[in-house]
Amino acid sequence: MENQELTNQIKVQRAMKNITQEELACHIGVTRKTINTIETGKFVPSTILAIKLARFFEIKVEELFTLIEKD
Amino acid sequence: METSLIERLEKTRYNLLKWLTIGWAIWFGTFILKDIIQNPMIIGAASTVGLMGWIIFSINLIQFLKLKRELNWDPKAKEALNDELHQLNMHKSFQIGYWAVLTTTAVFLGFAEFLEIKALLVTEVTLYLGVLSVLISGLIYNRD
Repeated sequence: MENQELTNQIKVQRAMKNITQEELACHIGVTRKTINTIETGKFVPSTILAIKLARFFEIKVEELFTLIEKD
Repeated sequence: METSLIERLEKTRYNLLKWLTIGWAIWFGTFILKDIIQNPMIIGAASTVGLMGWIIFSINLIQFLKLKRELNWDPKAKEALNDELHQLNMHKSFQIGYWAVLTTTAVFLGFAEFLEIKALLVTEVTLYLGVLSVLISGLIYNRD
């Protein structure tokens, strides 16, 4: 896991939908801090939360979250 | 669910936690200090400061429990506030508290080889550091 990094498109998707972290948090049923920590990569969400986020943005989980290999 | 409501409740919870930590640190800290230092003047001053700490701790504990009860009326807000990040932070805080208690016990056990330490003092200090470490780490993990 050390040479792998989970990136996400939440910020981009949020911008496309024109919603704030607080509004997204409200839709998903979590706090703004949780959305912020996921967006910045500090916190890896559970599968349930990842699916909820993907469903909200109407995209696949793999499109929202990507696991990349580091050198 | 109102967006600002969750934000407001989260800030309230954090502030209550902050004052609980301050109250506990002052109240129980002076309580232990009185047991260690036998000077009557210091005991008098520590009692006054300790009482203030106890008042701060008690008021905020009541407010904290009130907030918890109020959240039962709003299951969505309760769920949002106790989301997985919060649960993880709580888990990490209690883990730190567990290690603080173990370390304090081990340190006292080491000292007991050379010094005679009162059992009551060991219990008080262990409890003090255990609770304080949970509260402080909770504040650190939950800060914005």
